[in-house]
Amino acid sequence: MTNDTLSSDVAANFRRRAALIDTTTVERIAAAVSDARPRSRRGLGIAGSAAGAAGVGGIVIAAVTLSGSTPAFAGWTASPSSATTADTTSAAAACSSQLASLPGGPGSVTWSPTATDVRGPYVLEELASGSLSATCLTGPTLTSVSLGSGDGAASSTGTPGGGDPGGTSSTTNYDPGDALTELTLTSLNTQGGVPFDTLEGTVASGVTAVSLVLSDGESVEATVSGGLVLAWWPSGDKPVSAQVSTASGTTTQSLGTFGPGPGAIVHGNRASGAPDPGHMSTNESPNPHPPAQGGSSS
Amino acid sequence: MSSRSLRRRDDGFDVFVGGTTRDLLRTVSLIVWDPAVAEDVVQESLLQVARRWSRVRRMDRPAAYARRVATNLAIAAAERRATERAELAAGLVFEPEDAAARLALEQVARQRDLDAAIGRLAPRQRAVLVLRFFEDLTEAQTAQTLGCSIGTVKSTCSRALARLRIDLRGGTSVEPDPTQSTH
Repeated sequence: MTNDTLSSDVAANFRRRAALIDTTTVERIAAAVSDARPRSRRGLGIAGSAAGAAGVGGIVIAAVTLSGSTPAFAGWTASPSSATTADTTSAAAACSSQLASLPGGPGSVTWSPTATDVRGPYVLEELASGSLSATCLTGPTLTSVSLGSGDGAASSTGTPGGGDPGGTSSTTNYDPGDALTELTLTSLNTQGGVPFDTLEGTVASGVTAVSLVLSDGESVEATVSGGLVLAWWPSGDKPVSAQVSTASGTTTQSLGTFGPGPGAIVHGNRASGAPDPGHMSTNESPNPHPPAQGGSSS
Repeated sequence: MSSRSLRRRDDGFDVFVGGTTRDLLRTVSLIVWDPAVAEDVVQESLLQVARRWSRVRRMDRPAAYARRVATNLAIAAAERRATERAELAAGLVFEPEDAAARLALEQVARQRDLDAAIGRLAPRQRAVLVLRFFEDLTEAQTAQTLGCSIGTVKSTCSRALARLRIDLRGGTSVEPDPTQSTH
């Protein structure tokens, strides 16, 4: 049998098999995907029972402010600094280590940073590995990672022995033509109960800078790189608008309301009842200045 | 329902799913060689696309991205089930006792043998054949979909056809080539 004959027979076999696929199956899959489509990108949580006590919706801000140093996030700055190669590499190593230890995670795969936001001693990094994506915040006292996976619905997992993970994640899509096209806000607490928020998303082409205005009136300058926007802040206040700069000037974009209600679709991790698609762990060290390594998430 | 919720539903994803699910299911079914597994893989693939939809929808060819995700998930799923599938294929061998029936069923038997032989290929070998001979992708497009070189596509395709030829000639079950089960 020649190669041509055999390949023709193979193609015919494939066509016969493909013809057996019925419309009902196709429609069933499409409906299931539409129903299960994630309303939030990631599940988030915090290791340890103290975080569980803080819980979803229990964010209370008292001692933490944006303008001053705090014991939990000393050195944080409202404006990012340029990421050095050392920043990116060190954070990627710490984050990869912790991602590799995630129960049910992909194991030791190669993660590549796609965007990096540096504020004082803290590095927030977006990472990608094939079709997987992860967000990681690492600094002197913690390494926090969240991993998106297959079905993508919002949920969270605590680390072994930890309490309820706590934390919420909400994604808002904006109108076509808006400068900020999609934002995902995640609200977390450290193990000590100090709230912090991370924001990541996509921007339209031509956007050069984004300054977020929080609900308390403070501003946080975001990192804009490669069509992505990235920022975090330790207060629990939510962003309400953004000053967006392009070559033609600066405009203000309202961000709507993050959280339950019409502004965004939110899954409270504890209450969503969604299957567990994502994984998250935070490793907080009792040592205020340990090496920037992820280590165990327990 | 809020206006933002409506906006969420109008971002084109559902239309994309409606237009691509059948093609994805065909391709994935041919790679995993198991309809039930294929259904799960397609669903998982589309949900992975959903997670990145705001970026994927701006790509030149979102369907090609979805096919890449689905193909690689299908190969992984098929590799996990390779042993089970080989046992299933062996169990489906049908030998009619009546000579006339054997003659009448010869054509069907040839198709059955080819079907079984394709099912015994390593998942990555089968994926290359599906992309080349069913999807009609070029070698370059196949390489891009699988994340490998054109040379790897050529050699994998050649080995797959050689394996089929040997399998059909000998009529014996051939274990998948372990060297073809990974990149």
